[in-house]
Amino acid sequence: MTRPNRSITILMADDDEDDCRLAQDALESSRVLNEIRFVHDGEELLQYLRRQGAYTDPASAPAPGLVLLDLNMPRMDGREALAEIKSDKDLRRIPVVVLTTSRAEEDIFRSYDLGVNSFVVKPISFDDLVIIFKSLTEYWFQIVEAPCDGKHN
Amino acid sequence: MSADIVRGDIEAASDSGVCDLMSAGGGEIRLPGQVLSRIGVYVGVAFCLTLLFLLLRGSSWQGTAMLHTVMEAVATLLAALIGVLALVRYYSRKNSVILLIGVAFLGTAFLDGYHAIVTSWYVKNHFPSGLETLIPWSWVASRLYLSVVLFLSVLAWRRESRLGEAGRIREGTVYFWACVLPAASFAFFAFVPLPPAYYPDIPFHRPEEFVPAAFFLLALIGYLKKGHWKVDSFEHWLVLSIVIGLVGQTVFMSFSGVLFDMEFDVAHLLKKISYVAVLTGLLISTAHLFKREQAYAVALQDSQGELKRQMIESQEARERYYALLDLAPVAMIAIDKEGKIAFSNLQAERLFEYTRAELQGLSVEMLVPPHLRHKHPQLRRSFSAGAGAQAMSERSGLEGHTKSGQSFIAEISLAQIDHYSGSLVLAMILDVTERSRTEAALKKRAQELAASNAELEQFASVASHDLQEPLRKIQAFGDRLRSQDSDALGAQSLDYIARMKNAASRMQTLIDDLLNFSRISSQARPFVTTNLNEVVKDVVTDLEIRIEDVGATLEIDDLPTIDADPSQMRQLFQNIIGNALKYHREDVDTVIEIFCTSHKNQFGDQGWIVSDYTITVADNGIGFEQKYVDRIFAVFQRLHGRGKFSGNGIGLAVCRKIVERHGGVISARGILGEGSEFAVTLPQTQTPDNEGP
Repeated sequence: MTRPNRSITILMADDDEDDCRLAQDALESSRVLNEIRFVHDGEELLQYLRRQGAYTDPASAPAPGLVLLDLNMPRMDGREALAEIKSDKDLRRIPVVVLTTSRAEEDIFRSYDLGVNSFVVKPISFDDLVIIFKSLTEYWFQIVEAPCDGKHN
Repeated sequence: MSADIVRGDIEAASDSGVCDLMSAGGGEIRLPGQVLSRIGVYVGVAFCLTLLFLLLRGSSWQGTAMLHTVMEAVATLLAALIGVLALVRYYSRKNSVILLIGVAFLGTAFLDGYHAIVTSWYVKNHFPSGLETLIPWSWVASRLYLSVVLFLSVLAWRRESRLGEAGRIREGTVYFWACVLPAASFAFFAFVPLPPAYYPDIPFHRPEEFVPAAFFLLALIGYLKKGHWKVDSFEHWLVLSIVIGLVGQTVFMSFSGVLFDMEFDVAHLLKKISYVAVLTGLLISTAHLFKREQAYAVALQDSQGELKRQMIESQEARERYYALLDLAPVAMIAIDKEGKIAFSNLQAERLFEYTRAELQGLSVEMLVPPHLRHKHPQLRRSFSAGAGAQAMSERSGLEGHTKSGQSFIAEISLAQIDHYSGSLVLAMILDVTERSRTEAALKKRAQELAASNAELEQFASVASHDLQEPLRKIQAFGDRLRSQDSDALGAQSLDYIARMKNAASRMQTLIDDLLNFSRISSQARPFVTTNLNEVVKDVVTDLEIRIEDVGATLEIDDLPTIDADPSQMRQLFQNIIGNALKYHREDVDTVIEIFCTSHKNQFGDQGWIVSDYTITVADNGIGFEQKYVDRIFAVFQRLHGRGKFSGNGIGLAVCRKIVERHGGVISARGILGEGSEFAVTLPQTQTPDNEGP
């Protein structure tokens, strides 16, 4: 339970600046020390994960231990990005949690069919968002043995 | 008729009247009684003649040579007459029996004539023998000839019935022997001295008479066994004649002691009588023949009339058939194997603009648009080849071509029909140009409608999503503002923030409701067999806390099992029962009744069957005024202020949409201050058509 998790990076893919801001605030409010990085669409996300384009330097783009994925994004949306990640043998082990406003059944079913690790609906109040970040980091970085520990880094 | 008579018998017998038995109109069907009476006649005649002999025995009668000559002359004429008549019969329908009988009597006539002549006193001196031998021996020759040929005729019949046509004796042979035998006996008498004819020492003075008698007996046995005498007049009389002849030979002539005595003359008389019997038989059977011919003629006339009537009838039927074809609203064209039109109807003339005469014999390819003509013969052949398997085939989307060169869209049904000229293919052609156009337009409209519906659904769903985003931000940043900067804000500012957040929250609910409403059809699940008892039980479990809070009593009937979307059924009852709880009256104990009635609106194999159920939820709550009934089912329509009852006014709108998706009806009755009743009518089973999005 007390494993150091400082080095583990959270990568959030969301085109909404407000949501990115709120996520950053919530992460801080939850007193979680993990670093959070942002990409704004599916293509950027894949480039980041594959260390392409602007993300070739491991120092400025550390490998993430958890991906938070919004479904509705420009260029390549979260569904396509999820499908891509889960069909790529180098990327499929990275835990991906969908964080979206959609509560449509078909989105939930489809995401799990594609192999998402969790599906979380964005809460309405900020307080709830804080609780979600607290739970997610605790769960993925302390409770669960994640496959990318040590391997990806 | 005995059972062993084969085809040949019938043929032989039909000549002389057996056919009477066969022809239904003959009216001469003999009964067994007739057979007995005929036997009686034979036996009776033989007995009477024998009795007569005993009575006359010892009579001193002595005739003369003159009387004998006269009697023999009569016999000659009778025999000749019989012979000629029989041969005439033979040539009208050939069979060996009648030929032999004819020949027998002609020969007998010759011998009798000879007998009459030689025994006359003119010629007696020119013969080597005296009258006392010549007369008996020439008598015996005639009798022998007749009896032998009669016996032969029986043999001829047996041969013919055994071998059929092949067994028939050749005429030439018969005539040859018929000439040779009398000629031989003539020569014999003329040149050879005869032995004595009378033997006074033995009881039968003329034993030679037993030789023809034996042949008569054989012929008699043969004809009796043949059996035709039972039904045939001619053979009956023939048998009778043989009986008389036999008695004459054995009883009378053999006992004759001297020429021209009683026995001698009676025997001669009996010979004549036996001839007369044969003649009678011939005449009677000829009369029957004429009668039958007449009956045939009448029957022929009748059948000709019948034939004519049938021809007229079939002509009328044919005209009716073509008239009916002309009345048909579809064009009909019958095509033969070569693709030529055999016949057509009025509608075909109208449709293709040809006259009937032009269509007759026209190649059916002319009625097909030019660009399709080369393919058509093969299509025709493939239909003919597969005709056994498909009695009728229907094709649509084909094209027809009129005389003026117009093309039209046709629906064509093909059927194989039998025609006297061979098998034809009947094509029934319907011009469906107009119908196709309408169908296409309807299809397009339906597609447009479905597209616009889908667009609308999508719009509602997307709009709801996108509307939620900013609202969520308003609330989230409101939260941030309140928690981070609450010290810097005054109490009023905090109140404003709270109101702002409240408004955003309400909007959020509205949007959620709208989203749910649009999902009733866009996120619909298929219908499955759903037990409503279980659905209501689950709903009641979910609402347990509220039921306890209100202190309501629920009385629930047994509910049916129907085809439905279970989650929507659950939502439906949740909303209705939830409403009943929400709008309860404080001053009475809340009672909610749920009951069901069934409707037999469908007629099945076993009679009327249950097709629909009405489930009613009745409460004794605050009720409503009936005039608002339409309003309560509309989206976001409320009857009460927000302060009094929570909610957005979407619950019953959702209910209505669910019920309508299930092909049902929802209705409400309310009395203000007394209660309300919601009745949901749902079909028992769903057809796949109902299961739309």
